[in-house]
Amino acid sequence: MTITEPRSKYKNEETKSEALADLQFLLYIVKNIALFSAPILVNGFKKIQAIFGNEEFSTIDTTVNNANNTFKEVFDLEEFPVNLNPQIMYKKKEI
Amino acid sequence: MLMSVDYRLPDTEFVTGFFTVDGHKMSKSLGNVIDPVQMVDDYDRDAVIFNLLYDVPIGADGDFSVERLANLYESMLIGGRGNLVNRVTSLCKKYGITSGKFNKQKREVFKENNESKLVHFFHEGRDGSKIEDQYLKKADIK
Repeated sequence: MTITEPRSKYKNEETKSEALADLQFLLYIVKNIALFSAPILVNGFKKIQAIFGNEEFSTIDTTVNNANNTFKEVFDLEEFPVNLNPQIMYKKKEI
Repeated sequence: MLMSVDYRLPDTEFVTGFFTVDGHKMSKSLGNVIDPVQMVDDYDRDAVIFNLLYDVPIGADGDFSVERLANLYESMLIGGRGNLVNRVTSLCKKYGITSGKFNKQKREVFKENNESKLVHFFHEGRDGSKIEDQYLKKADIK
């Protein structure tokens, strides 16, 4: 499992390009899981929009009924640009 | 109200159960009433909605506890979803990736590795019973 982990693959010149393809595919998965769960995890979705920095993705407002056609368009996107700004989605609570 | 405006009355109504707290009915005299606004302030709106949808079976009463909410928040939102997003986006940023891309071959691998987990997540209740079965049984369809 450690060998197939993107970080390990990236360190090996032979598997470096595969690591990058894995990560690009994972971004695609994150995008679609975010859209799929957006009506329930509203705050999390907004965070992912901010993290991705994709203009089209950021226009989606799932709090509006029948938001807009952008939802389907972005869901169907097989390749999309990102301008990543990673941040913590859910902070630990000391209660 | 519907009858007064000559609307047809529904043939079937789906009614959800009650929320109990640590197995007891909520009551002012017991002092165990949950304030949802406080829960949202303490945790997150996402966590409260997720907890109720994940734990409360359709048609039956569902139990709520702050401890369970905290556990779900830690394990599913921070440890699961939050961790995935943070790891993927941090690595992508570090390696200069500027686009996400679908890959048919990788999708097959992903499906193979995650199918059972996804089926469990979306189709089985906390007690292992099928959510669809609970629906159909309550509606006397099955």
